[in-house]
Amino acid sequence: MAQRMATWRRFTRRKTAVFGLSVYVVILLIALFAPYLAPRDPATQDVMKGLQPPSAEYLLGSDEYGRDILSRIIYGARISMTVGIISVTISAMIGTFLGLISGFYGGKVEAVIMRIVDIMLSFPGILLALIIVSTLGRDIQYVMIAVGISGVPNYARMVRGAVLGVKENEYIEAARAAGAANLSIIARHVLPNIFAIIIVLTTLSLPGSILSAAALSFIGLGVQPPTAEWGRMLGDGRAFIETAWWISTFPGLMIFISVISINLFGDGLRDALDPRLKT
Amino acid sequence: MKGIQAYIVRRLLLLIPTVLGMTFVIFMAVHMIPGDPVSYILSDMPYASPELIAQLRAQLGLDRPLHEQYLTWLARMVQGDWGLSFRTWRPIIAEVAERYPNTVRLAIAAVFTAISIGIPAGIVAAVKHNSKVDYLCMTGALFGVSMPSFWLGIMFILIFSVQLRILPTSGTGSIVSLVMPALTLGLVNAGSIARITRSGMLEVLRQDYIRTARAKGLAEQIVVYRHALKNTLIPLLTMTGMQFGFLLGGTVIVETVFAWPGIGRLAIMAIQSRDLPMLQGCVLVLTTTFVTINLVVDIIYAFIDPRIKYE
Repeated sequence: MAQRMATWRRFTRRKTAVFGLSVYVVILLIALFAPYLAPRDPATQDVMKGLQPPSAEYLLGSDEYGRDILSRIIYGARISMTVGIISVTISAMIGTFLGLISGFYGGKVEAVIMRIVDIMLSFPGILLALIIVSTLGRDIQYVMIAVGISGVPNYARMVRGAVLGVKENEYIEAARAAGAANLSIIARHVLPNIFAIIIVLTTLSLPGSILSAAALSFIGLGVQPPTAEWGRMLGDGRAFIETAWWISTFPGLMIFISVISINLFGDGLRDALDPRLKT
Repeated sequence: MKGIQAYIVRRLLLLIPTVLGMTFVIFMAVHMIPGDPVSYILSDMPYASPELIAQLRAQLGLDRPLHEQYLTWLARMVQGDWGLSFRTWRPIIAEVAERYPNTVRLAIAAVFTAISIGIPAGIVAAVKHNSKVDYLCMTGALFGVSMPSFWLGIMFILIFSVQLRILPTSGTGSIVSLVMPALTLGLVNAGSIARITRSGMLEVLRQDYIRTARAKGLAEQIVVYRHALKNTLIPLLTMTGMQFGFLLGGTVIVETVFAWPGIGRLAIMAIQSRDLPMLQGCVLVLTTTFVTINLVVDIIYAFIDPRIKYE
């Protein structure tokens, strides 16, 4: 408990980190209360009022179907945030599991898992997610799976490294001498000791997942119309860039703001929880 | 030198399972997509008899075990027989070869942009640690790593093409049309390079030999450039090599934004028209490029870092 307080104090000392967390919480609240905040229905079309520039009626303008950009951004926060969080959770769960067993058991298990990780890492950047989505089909749940899987190798590597470090400790040997089974050692002694690293990794991977998911939607592989999602809105607005700058500009700005706020928060969290992770 | 040779050989041998695995993933991804090639070919003949379907499957080798199909496919790929595009009916290898130089050009220009902004910013930030300049550089780096490349690209189009009308919106492969895509991809990657450079420099600047160099009365510039920077360059090289992977993946997005005629754009068009053999070819070329770059970086690393262990 005292340790947790100390961590919290270290975290709050960094103003930028607190600011990042606050902005992120506001975005989550916007997503949560979207129906109460949005001035209009995000899907209602009014073609007569298409491509309106920002005005008192449409604060951030309207798209080619006369849909309100502001309302679509507010509702879009739901999809964009959910996709980011779920894909990171997928990476964290699979990656932690693989990292744990390869680090703990070593030997053939480790060799096989690390070979698979190497293979996954031979796909540059977003390409692994891209090929997974094109195999599964274009829809939002497949984007989450694809982005989630492509984040696995990073977790597996980091968690494995952390487990190797923890395994050397005497308390592990003591537990084993006391007759504890492997699974109980993992659950009681290894996992709690690498938990901070997993939390930091998750926070630091969230921005990348949000960006990848938005990029896939931007290309047209993610959310299908008429659902509002920031990457898709940005992609659809590209066709009107010469006449209606607001369609692409605002959703992109929201992606940028949410990613930057999580990055600020994550950097602060890393320094507060585990300064050794600093790159 | 013996050590290095053994290291390179070992590194090359390690590459074999990775490349086999990677090609298997690419093969499987396309194989798993519902509806095998037979249904494509016979889509004009809804009443094809079961015998005809079976015969066609046998002809295409689809009735054979998976690992055999994979090996046949791999042998054909190695021989340069990549099949025809479903969309244009041209040989895939020809289309890929036509566009590959454009992607390489874009990637090199972007790496150059990223390095020439990122490294100086990182050095200045580390040397002036905790100063206003440091904060400014690191804020810039944060903006870089948080920036969606597709948004930055569109904002560039808005400013330079729509408003100022000084640059073309889409790519033809010419130098002028290279400016915006290279700048977009370069700036997005400059952020992480600046961060890596800064933390590497900070670490080195804390070392004893730097204190010794300063104590000897060496000019600060000599300390920074001759002693500190040299020792930062080695990890920086590895990280830049890894960064190249993100950048290569990023070309897919940026090429789409600017309609740049490269492999990335070709891959996206292939996905959109469900031209799977073409997608296979594009992904294969991009991953092979990436794996090769990593190999080269590792070998250079072995040559310049005398501390590396070869066992």
